[in-house]
Formats: sequence, structure tokens, C-alpha cells
Amino acid sequence: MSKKTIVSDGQRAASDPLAGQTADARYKSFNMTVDPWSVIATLDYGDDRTMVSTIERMILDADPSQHPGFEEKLLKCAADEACTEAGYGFICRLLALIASPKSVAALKKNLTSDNENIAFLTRMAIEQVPGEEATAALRAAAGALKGREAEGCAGAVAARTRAQ
Amino acid sequence: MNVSRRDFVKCAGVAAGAAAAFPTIIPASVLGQDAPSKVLTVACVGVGGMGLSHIKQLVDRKTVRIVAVVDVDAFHQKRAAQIINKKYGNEDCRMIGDFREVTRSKDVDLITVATPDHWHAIPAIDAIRNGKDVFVEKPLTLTVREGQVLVEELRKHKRVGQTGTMQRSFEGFHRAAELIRNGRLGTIKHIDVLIPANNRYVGATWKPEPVPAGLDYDFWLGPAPYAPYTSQRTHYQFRFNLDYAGGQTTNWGAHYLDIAQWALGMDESGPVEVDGHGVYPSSGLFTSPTRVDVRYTYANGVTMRMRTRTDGISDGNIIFFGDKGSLDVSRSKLKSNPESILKEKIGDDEIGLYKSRDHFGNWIECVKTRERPVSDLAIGHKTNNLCNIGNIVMQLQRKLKWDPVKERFDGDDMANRLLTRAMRGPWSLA
Repeated sequence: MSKKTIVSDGQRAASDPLAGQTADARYKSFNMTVDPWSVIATLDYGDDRTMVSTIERMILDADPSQHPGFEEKLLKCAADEACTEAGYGFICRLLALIASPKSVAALKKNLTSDNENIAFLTRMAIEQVPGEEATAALRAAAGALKGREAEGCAGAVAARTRAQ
Repeated sequence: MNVSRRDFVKCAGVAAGAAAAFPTIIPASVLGQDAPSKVLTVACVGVGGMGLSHIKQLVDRKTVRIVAVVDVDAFHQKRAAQIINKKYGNEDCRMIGDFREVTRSKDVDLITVATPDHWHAIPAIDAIRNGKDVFVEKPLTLTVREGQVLVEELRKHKRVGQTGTMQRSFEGFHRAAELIRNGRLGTIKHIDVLIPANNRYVGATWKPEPVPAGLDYDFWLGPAPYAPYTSQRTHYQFRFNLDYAGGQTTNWGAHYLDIAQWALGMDESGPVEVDGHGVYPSSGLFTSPTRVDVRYTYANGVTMRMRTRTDGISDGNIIFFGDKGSLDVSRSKLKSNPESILKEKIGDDEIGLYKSRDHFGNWIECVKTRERPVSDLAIGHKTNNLCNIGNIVMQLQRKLKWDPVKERFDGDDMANRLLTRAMRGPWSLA
């Protein structure tokens, strides 16, 4: 062994949260990190996005066969009552890339949220879903909304028709 | 009713001889469109940094009169109006917060748009639908879909639209493109495009701040998703946030990829394959790539690589490589290898590219003749597609096939979803 090697006495510093634990527990902790999926719901505007960026990268890199699984996980995060507005926005941006009619069914009630930002973020996800379910959901929301999101939603339906 | 300028000023008691010495400002609703001495009224939408540049280009011309400035920032409005009023010697320039007051006004003939990118399409489309001709800054639109609608409306309403890719009116770029189109480099094999690095920096987090007095922040956001105000989000820095712009890929790519398209004769088309490997920040306010690297392949085999330069120069550069030589061109140089290429003359029976030496002047002239200008919006849109698909493949980190006519990716649903995005109400492309 090199003379420069300093052999630990196996004791952690008193300030270490793992101090005093048995060797097995300490070893287990070496393999644990925060689950980035749990961070999404607590994301706030301006927060460090490094953790949630890993999820973004997973989804961007995913094979299309993996999209349904990721969609389900995102919808579960979105359904979390504690999910923040910024977290919901992050989820909707990712759903916009992979959402299917399943997302339309799960989220369409939010198209008419009293929170204008939530209503728009939901539309961001649903507008990208092809097919009649999404069109019908947007049309229904346009009829029920008031204010500028009503115009935005109606415009989205018209723009969708034009694009087709 | 069409009233000739001479009849109008006679009735006003001004001698015809004196009227010939200076133009009288008469709204378009009074004079006929074909009156040769008609001064065109202009409203400038977006009068921050680039908008001031537009004003300086227009305010000395006798053929146009700036009658209004539009900006969501009252400070910008006031600064711009002061410049215009000082030049004209009056206090007539209107300061407006909502572009619809000018795009729908019968007293305005022309609209210039120099807003952040996420606000290019909507005012331009509204202006066109209301009978105005437009000058829209590059990059033309935030998404491919916006550009498609903009060009459709331009043609439908038979308006004249110029993209702000002013390098097409620079002699050096025109010369380079003409030499290439006439085979002086032989068969083009490859093109290198270098663009400047980001020139603004932020950390991994940011804090919401109070909106400064005089800024209509909600209008500034417009069709973009809501996010709390923070000072590094707006004005020059919008360029580095993908909710509002496309980073240096579009900021500079729009200029130099445009020259590549021109030189290759691809103004109605584009590449058929694109591959991207950008480097993105993992956190922070800025979301555009800090290092751009995109490779394009055209159907004829020509390859092009656009990447961030590392030498600190704050200009772009484009180098064409052919089997008979190379051309290296930027705003400050035009070099060839061998040097004899630059001495070549283009014959009368050869391809002569559209010649403009005054980008705004060309637009105004075309407004009068109803010809297409040198950077017609359709050309700007095709160029902008290269920028937008470049950003898409860099985000996705994969090589994709692109149909430049249908303007869709082959076989990648996620990539095609990125060609458009939702707009916050009340805004839409409808």
C-alpha cells in the first residue's frame, strides 16, 4: 500500500447524518440518491432544474415504445395535489412531446381551471395530441372558459383545423 | 375617393411649386396607391435595440414618414419617439402599447417588426391581414408553423414582406453567392458556418423580481407561457430563452445560413437531413444551447456544418469549399483560394442574383412596384427552417430526415411536435 494512503478508522464525523450507523446501513446509503421524479412536484419558479433535467433528457432520448410508461409517470406527478404550478408546467412541456389521448382524458378538466396559467399549461400538452379526442376537449373548453383563455382555446381549435 | 397630391395641396392653399419641394404627409386612405410621390406612413413595432436601428434606417428617407412607435416598455417608446420627433421637428410621433392600434389603422401603410422573436409572427400577420406591407426582423418566426402561416397570409393578401436578413444587401455576400452560383468554385462539397458564442451569462437559479414601472410585462410575455418577471428574462437576454427565441442558432444562423441557401440556389427548398449535438445548460434562466453544432445535408450531397466559434469573435463567418477552390466571407472580409476567383467577372449571360445595396430601400421600392424584395418572407422562412430544425435536432440529439417542401421530419413524431407550440390566450395563428 502506498505510504500516502491514509487508512480510515471507519468512524464517521459526529456531524455526519450516518454517524453511528452499522456498516450495512452505511453501504446501502451509498447507493441511494434523491429520485428526480419526486422533485418535479416541488419545483418552483427559479429553482435549480438540474435534477429534473435528467428526466427531460430521459424522455428526449427514449424510444417511442417507452413513451407510454413515461406518460403515465408524468400524469401521476401531475395528479399530485402538492404539485406546484412550476412543476405542473414542467410536466406539461414534457407531455407535449409524448402525450396520447390518455393524457387528454386525464387532464382535460384542467383546461378550464380557474387558474389561467394551469389552463394554458394543460392546453400546451393537449394541443400536441393528434386526433379527435384532443380536438373535442379543446372545443369543449373553449365553450366553457371565459376571458382570454377562451379566445386562446378557440384560436387553437381554429389553428388546428387550418393545419389539417 | 382618390385625390392626387397636387389637387390636395392646391385646395390647402399651398402652391404646386412649393409642394414639389417637400412631400406632404397624406394617409394612404386619401391618396391612391399608385401616386408616385406618395409618402408612406410607417409604424415601428418593437423599438428596443434593433427597433432603434430600424428607425435610424427610415427616419432620414423622404419616401416614408414614421408616425408611431409601439412597444410594451414605455421607456423604449419615449426614447424612440424623441429621436423621431427631433428629426422631424415636431411632437407628432404617437407612442402606443398595443400593436393592434397600428396594424388595424387606416393611417398606417407599413409596419416594421423588431420585437423579441416570439412576437414576430402575430403582429406581422395582423398587419398583412389589414392590408399593410411588412418588414420583419430575423429570425422570421419562433416556430416553423408560424412561418408557414405568415407566408400563406402574405401571398393570400398580396402584400410585400421583407425579412431583416440584410446581408443579402451587402456587396461582399452578393458577390460570393454570385461567384458560387456561376460555378467559380466548381462543385460545392461542404460549407462551414461559424457563429458567435453566447454573450450573456446567468447562474443555475433565478429569483422573481418586481416588474419595473412602465413595462407591460404580461403583454411582453404575450403568447409565451407565464413565468414571473426577472430582469434577465427580457430585452436583449430574451435571445437565450427558448420560450422567446432560438439562441445563437437563430440569432446568427438566420444571417449566415441564409447566405448558404442563396449561394446554393436553395431559396425554395433546404436540406434533407439534419444532425445536431448541442450543449445545453442543465439549469438556470437561459435554455438555449451554449454550444451549437448542427450538420445539414442537401439532396445533391452538399454538407454544411454550423457551430459555435471558439475564437471570441463576435461575428459569423461562412466558408464554401468547392472542387476548384474556396470562399471565406463575413461582414468584414471576402477571401478566396485561389485569389484569382475574386477577380472573375460574371458575364451578362450568366446567373445574376438579385442586387440590392439598401435593404430598407429595396423594401420600400418593392412596396411601390409590388415586386418581391430581395429577402421576401418566403425566403426568410426557408432559411429560418434551417435554424429551427437545427435547434430541434440538437435538443433531440439525433439525426433526422427532413422534407424541405412538406416541412416535416420523416418518421419522428416528437420532432414534428416541436415544429409548433401552443400560444397563451388571446393569441393564436387563427
